[in-house]
Amino acid sequence: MGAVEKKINTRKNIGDSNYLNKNCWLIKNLNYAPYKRCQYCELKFNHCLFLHYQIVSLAVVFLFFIFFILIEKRLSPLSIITVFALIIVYGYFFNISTEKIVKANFFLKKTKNELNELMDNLEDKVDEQTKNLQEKNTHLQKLLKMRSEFLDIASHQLRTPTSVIKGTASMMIDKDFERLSHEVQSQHINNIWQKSVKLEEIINDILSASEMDTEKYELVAVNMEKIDIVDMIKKIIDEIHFDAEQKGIILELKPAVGKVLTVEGERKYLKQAIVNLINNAVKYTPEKNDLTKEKGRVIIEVSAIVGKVLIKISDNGIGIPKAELTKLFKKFSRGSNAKEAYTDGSGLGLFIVKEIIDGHGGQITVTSDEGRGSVFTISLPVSAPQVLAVSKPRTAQPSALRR
Amino acid sequence: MGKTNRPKKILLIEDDPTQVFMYRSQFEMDGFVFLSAPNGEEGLALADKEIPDIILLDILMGKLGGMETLEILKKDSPTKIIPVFILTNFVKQEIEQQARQLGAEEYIIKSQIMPKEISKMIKKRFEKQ
Repeated sequence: MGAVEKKINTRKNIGDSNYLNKNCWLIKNLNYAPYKRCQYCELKFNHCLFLHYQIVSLAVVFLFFIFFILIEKRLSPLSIITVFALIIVYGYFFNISTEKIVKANFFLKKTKNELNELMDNLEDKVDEQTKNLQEKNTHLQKLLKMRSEFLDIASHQLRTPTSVIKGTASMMIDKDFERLSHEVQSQHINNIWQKSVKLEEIINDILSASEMDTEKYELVAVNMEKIDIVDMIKKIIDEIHFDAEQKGIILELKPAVGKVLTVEGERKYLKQAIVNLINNAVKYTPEKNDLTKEKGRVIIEVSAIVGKVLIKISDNGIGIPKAELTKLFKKFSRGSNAKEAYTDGSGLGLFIVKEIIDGHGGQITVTSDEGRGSVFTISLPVSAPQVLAVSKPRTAQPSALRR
Repeated sequence: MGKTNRPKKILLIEDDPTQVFMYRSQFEMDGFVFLSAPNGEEGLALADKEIPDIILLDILMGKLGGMETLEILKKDSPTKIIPVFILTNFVKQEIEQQARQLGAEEYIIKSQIMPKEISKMIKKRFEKQ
């Protein structure tokens, strides 16, 4: 490609001449003597019909001149006039044919340029598409890696409660189990129960998360309704306060601030999001804070600002290390200190919360002080964003999800 | 012959109290002395202090995971000779290979091998000695 271009560039442009008067056809023609290449087609004399034609026509003029001199034995005015007339005629036809050739040449060059351009464009396009393909490929590889990580961790999370259920049951089948004290036996049965509940929760979490993973969570018009946030939180607290009481921590809803405390949304999912957050707060708040020696408490505040409802859930629990705040809403992310405190959270709860809040056009933020507690704030728009007109099936049931 | 000796000491390094409770019941029933630690750090300290006859080690834990713990156990001379069984639900070949290279004798998947069988495996291991 490059070599051909060079060759074209070194060639003379049309009509160029080494002589000053390049408009004179005679000079032009003499310049292109037989030993040179043709001005227009760049072929050698032997191959160029145009050059042949030039020489033949010049020879014909010369022959006429000789012919007249032989007939009249002198340089008669007639011979001179005839020769001049011939030369003029020759020049006329020569100019016409040259023009045609020049035009044809110009057309050819133009076409050539266009072809070159097209080729360049094609190359650019191919390059671009190759790049696109490479990008898609790396993206796919990333997705595959994420998928295999998902499977690794999901299977671990599922096996953990399973191993206790299976293991304890296998011990119960064994006669030795009867040797254990009654208290220990009932503790074992209790463990099976707890791990079964846990197992179901994890299955639900994984289903919800993988569903939200394949298609972004979006609101469905049919399921939309006006939701009284304060009322909803009161109901949630009714369900959860028993857990908090058992742990010996305070769970409290402060009186709401502001007027408009309803939002448009899907009740089932908004409830799921808020339940997750309150459950987390309760779970990661010990009865007594190690650092501040305060009694554990979870406070929920609801307030309205223009067009938005804010829900603030603050606790004085174990908090979240600063470095981990940013990746908190990703799948299978758990605070490193959370693993110590609680062993079998699915690591999916906050991911699901974020998907739901995003779907409602809201925002979730978190601030935390490790060892002193965390504050999760949800802001939800009072009127819902664009919604899907048709309902799509959702398989997973909401559950009390854990981070 | 081995049975007449003092009871063998098992150290389980595991962060889930429910599982610790389950294994404690099984191993104590089978006549072992059972010790446990909730993470790698405390596990290492306990191993140094008590020098158990065998260590059962979980992989996914908060403070100091199982692999790091195993590495330190096998570096440290008093704990170097203690056989280590990995006891986990993390099924991944690379991890298993890595653990065996680091000196783990067995890689036990908790959900597949029941406590009683683990107890039998440990007894067999001691009969070899």
